[in-house]
Formats: sequence, structure tokens, C-alpha cells
Amino acid sequence: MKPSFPLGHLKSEVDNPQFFFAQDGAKNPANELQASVQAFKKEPKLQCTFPARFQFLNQKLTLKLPTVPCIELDEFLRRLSGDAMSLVFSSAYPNSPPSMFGHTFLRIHRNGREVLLDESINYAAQASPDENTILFTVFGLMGGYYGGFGISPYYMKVNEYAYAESRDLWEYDLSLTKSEIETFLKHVWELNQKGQFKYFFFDENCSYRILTLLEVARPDWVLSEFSIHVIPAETVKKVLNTPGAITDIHYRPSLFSQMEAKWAILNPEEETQTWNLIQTPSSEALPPRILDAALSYFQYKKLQNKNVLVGKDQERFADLLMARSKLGVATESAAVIEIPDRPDQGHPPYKWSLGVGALNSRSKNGEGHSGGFQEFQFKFAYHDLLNEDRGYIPFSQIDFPTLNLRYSDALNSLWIERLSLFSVTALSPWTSFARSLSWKVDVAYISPKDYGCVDCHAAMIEGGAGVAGSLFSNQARAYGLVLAHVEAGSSIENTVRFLPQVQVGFLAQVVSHYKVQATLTRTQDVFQNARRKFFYTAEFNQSWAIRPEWEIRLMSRALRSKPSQKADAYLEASLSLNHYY
Amino acid sequence: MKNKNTILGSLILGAVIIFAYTQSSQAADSSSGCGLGWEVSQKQSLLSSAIRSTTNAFLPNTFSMTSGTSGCQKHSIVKNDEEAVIFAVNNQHSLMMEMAEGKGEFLNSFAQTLGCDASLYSDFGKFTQSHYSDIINTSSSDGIELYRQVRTQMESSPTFKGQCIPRA
Repeated sequence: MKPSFPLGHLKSEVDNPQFFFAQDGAKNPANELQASVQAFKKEPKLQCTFPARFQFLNQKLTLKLPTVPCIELDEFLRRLSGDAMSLVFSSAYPNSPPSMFGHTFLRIHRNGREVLLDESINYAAQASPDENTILFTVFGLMGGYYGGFGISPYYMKVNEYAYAESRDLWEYDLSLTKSEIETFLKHVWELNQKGQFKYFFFDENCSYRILTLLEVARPDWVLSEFSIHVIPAETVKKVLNTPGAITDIHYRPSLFSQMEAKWAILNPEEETQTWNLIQTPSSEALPPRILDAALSYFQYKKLQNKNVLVGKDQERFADLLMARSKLGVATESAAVIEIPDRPDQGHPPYKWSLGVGALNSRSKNGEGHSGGFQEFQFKFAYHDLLNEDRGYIPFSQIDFPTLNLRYSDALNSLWIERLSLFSVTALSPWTSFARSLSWKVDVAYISPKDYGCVDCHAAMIEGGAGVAGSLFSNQARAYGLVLAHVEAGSSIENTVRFLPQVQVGFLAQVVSHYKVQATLTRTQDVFQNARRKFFYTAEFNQSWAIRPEWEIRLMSRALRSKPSQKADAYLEASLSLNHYY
Repeated sequence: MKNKNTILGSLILGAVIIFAYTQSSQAADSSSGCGLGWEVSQKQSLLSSAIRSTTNAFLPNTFSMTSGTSGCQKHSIVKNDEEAVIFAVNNQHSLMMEMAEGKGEFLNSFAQTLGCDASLYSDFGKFTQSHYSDIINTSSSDGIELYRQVRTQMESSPTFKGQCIPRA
């Protein structure tokens, strides 16, 4: 959809009437075209407000309308125009829901100008920084904010993303020419002057808007066709898959990545020396790389703390900076930063799955059933713990509406095994650099397994936090979580039950394309007088990624309640083929 | 798009309410009205990249440089040095690190805002390193002071005297 060139489109995305000349301009491209031409003829100064539209109509319809000087517009173009433009992607930031999918914005480059001094253009929801979190979520999802453009020097963006939030930046150089960039800028100008867009976190978001703007500069690029959701990394893939659109890709490491690289070149003895140096001054003559590593620790710590260091840290940092300045420019080669997988190399978001399995269920009163089943699953987005992490935050999960259906001939039953609304898990490791907590939230309609019935259901909300440790050079996580869990449903005795849980788990990328997960959960069933008990659930899951789009999983789950005389028991295993697109 | 967004939005809201935690407020910009104060914005906040109100002005401070209305002009001791002052204020943390190391990307960019040609970047880096204690008054320095000291030191240096003149 091209809002300012309404030819051939039925409804403009621009949400305010001031952008249109015809009464029904937003819905009637033909009328809008005629009204625009009339307006430009009658009032030449309007070309200063709508320069891209004027340029387009003047050229396409060969109107030969005279141009008039536009002082503010010309100053804007003088300041912002450039020789090249890049699409910049900042990696996902796990601790902030709006940032979990990454973010995209643009950088305009001028030959001879240092990259940090380039101009950046950003599109975002116009909300107050003090906005209440819940209100922000509601408004952001439902279009309660208008979106707006912000222009700032690129170093501001590098500071915001790579330094303050330690997010990697990926710069995708676009093949736009100088004049195409100028057309783009004229369009941004007219949208800012007279247009208004409602901001929708799911689809008309930061990344989507950028694609529509690029389409104005290059009408032959088809970028903005997305069916349900617009995920930033998917927009990057769209541009990459457009022939000739991207000429080069650059990686700009986050502060955390830079710090890791400086520590990675130290041997164990040097690491110890560095930790000591962080605590106390040393009269020893230490090589620059030890001071650089210590300095990077303080720099990271400072920026994690809103650019403030207090007390002893501040003193040590200042001392070390002074000491480092006396050592000259480092001649030894700088720490090499390993370039990670790119965000566009990740698996696609949509999933459907077909599987077969078997289950065996036995309840306290001796009833039981067993049989084979077939399973179908559909998921809207995004990434789970068993997916290959290439291009994603490792060992994380963000899943949007997912439906699991099961059918069993032996049990003569078709049922919803799970209807997930939202399932998010972050297993950030607790390290000496970053003391991160892990957490989990899960909202779903489920089939509880400790009632001895295969197709009974409950609505469930679960949430909690814990810690995770990184093992085997960041190829695995061992974690523990404490979770609050509430279920409500007609199958549940007394309708509602509260099930606090403790879970320990191990999740590993064993070898390339093969992941394994083992979990053990102890669930206490409280406030249920007749059933006061606890039960254990164990899971063992394996996942093989054959391609980014295809995966095979072997899942198994066992449940047993206590006390074990008259226990509820459940066992299932399944094999599935998953397709991502 | 609105209906779909409403439905999806309602579904998500429930979970987010559980997850919600308070965001920290944005601290005041302490650089006497010059600079854009990015570094104290919402790191702990849920709102992160979706909004950046202070830095999301359509035409920010740097834009009004040439008309002298940015508030930074009063700090520049050399004509046309506003961009350099703003750069120093907003990138003080990186400049301090790179000056101690004698080289770096932020240092090169700073040199460019001061009007230095690229051929002088390497010398500029070494120069700031060797004059580190003069440039950084580490107990209480701000970016403006950092800029001022650099300019002052450059004036008394044979390598830099008369060089590095920014254009308007």
C-alpha cells in the first residue's frame, strides 16, 4: 500500500483527512489524483508540503507545472540527503516485550562522512517515556498511539542499542541511488507534515512502515505484503530476497560482545590478574590487553547502570583509564569478534506440524486408557526452546497462538490438546558479568494429565522466575524455575486449583542441528482437600533441524502423583514432522 | 487491520499483565541544556526501542545547529563547533575509553566534527592519549569540559594549531 500515491489502492493507511485533497481521498484514488492535480495547479506552494506527490504527478502525468522555492524543505534535504542508505536491524532484547523481536530503522550515508555522524531515521509509537506499562501494551497493540518519525545522528542509535542495551546491530546496505533517497526523504517530509498513522505493534509497526517507504523510493520493490504479523527479522528477509536490493552487510557488535571478545583472548592467569586489577590497584607492569579487559568490564557495568558508576567502581575505573593512557596505542592485534549468525538466517515464524504418538493414562481409582493418537499443530509465530537458535536469542521462547489437536481412534476421541495464547521463556545465564534472571509466562487452554482423563480441559495461567547457568561454552543451559500456576475448568474439582511448581531443566545444542531437553517438575496441588498431593512430571525431548524449514521431533512425557498407592500416572511419546514458513 | 489487532491484543494483554514490572523513570539530562540525554533512558523499561521520545523529535537539536538555537552554541569556543560539542556530550563514555587507548571509531568521528581531515585521525588519537590527564578531570567532568580541554590543548600543539577548522 502506498499511502501518498493512491493510484490503484483502495484504502490508504494514512489515518487523518488532512493528507487528502478529495473528500473521499483515502478510499478513492482516482478522485484523489484529480483533486491533487487541481490543488497543485491552483496553489503552487502546496508542492512544499507534498513534494513527493508533486514530483510523482508532475513526472508521470507530464504536467509541466513550475516548481517554486521551498526554504524549509530545501534545508531539510540539504541536511539529510545522502549517497547511500542502509537498513539497520538491532537484535532482540530479551527483557522487554516490545523489543523481543528486534527493531529496524534506516541510516543515510554521505561519502566522506564518518558513519557515526550519519543521520538515522526511525519510526516509532509516539508515547510518553513514563507511560504505564499496561497502558502502553494495550495502546500499542490496539492502535492507541500514532506513529512518528524521529531523526537523530547515528551515534545516538548506536548508543541506545549497542551500548545501553547491548544489542548487536546489523547494517544492510541498500542499492538506492542518490535521487531515490531524495524521493524517499520528500515522502517522509510530506508524511510528517500532514500525515498520521496509527501504530500497531503487530502489523503496522516500525519495520512495516520502513518497507512502505522503501517501496515509494523503488516502486518495483514489493516488500510490504505480509498476511498476519510483521516481524522485524522477516522484513529484513523480504528485502534481502529482493534481487539487487542489498549490496553489503555489516556487523556492529554490542558492548557486551566487545567485552566478551576482550576477555576471550586472556589466558586463565591473565583472567585472574584482570579480576584482581578490577578490585585493587597493582604496581605490576601489566600488558594493555589486561587493562583493556578490565576497562571493558567497567564500561559495561556503567552502561548497564544508566551510565553511572558509584563509589569504589568509579575510582577504579578512573585509575585504570589513567594507567591505560600511559601505555600507548596497542600494537598487538585487537580482539577478534566472532561474527554471529545473522537475524535473517533464522527459521521462519509460522509452523504446522503432523505427528503420531501413543499415550497411557491411569487415574487413582484404577480407571485407565491407552492408545495411539495423531496430532496436528499450527503456530502463528515465533520460536521455541527446541528450535535451532540460529538468528534468535539462544535458549529463548516466544510463542504466539498455537493450536494442538489430537485424534485417537482407540479412544474414539478428538480433542484440543493445547491452545496456547502466549508462551514466553527467557533463560538468560547468570554470569559474573550479567546477573540475569530467567523467567517464564504461559497462558493456555490445556489438558491436565493428572486427572486420569485424556480429554478434560482447563484454562491455565503460569508464570515465574529462576536462574540459569551456561554450560559447555554456551551450548547448554541448566536452569531452575519457581512457578505459580493456576487452572480453572469444569473438570477441576472445586473449579479452580493452584499448583505452585519447581522445575529443573537441561537444554542443550548437542551438536549442530540437534537439540535435547530434559526437565523435571514437582507440582504441589494445594487447597484441594480431597486430593492434597503433589506430582512429578518428567520430559525428555529431542529435535533435529533438517533445514531451517523442516524439523523432526521426538517428545516424551511422564507424570506420576504421590502418594504412590493409588497414584495418577500418565505416559506419552510422540514423533512429529514440523514445517516452518 | 483494527479487528485483528483488537483480538490479538486482548489475548496478549492477559499474559502481559502477569509479566508487567515497573519501568524506571527517565533521569534528567544534566548537561546544562545541551545534548540529548540518551544514556539515561529506559534500559530497565519495557518500552525500550518502541519509543524514544527525547531523541525522536522530527528535527532534533543538531538540526537547529546552524541557526544557533540548539542551546549548545553558547558552549563552543571555536566558531561552528556545535556539532563537536553535542558529540562530546553524548559520547563522553566512549571518548573517555578510546582516548585512554589512543584510537577508536568515536575518536575519529569526534575529530571529524572538530574539522580534522581523515589524515590526522591517527595523530589525533595519540595526541588525546598523551594529554589524557589534561583532558579528563576524572572526578567531575562532563562532555562540554572534555570538548573544551581538547580544543585548548590543540591550540597549543604544533601539530594541530591551525588545523581542524570545522565548516559551517
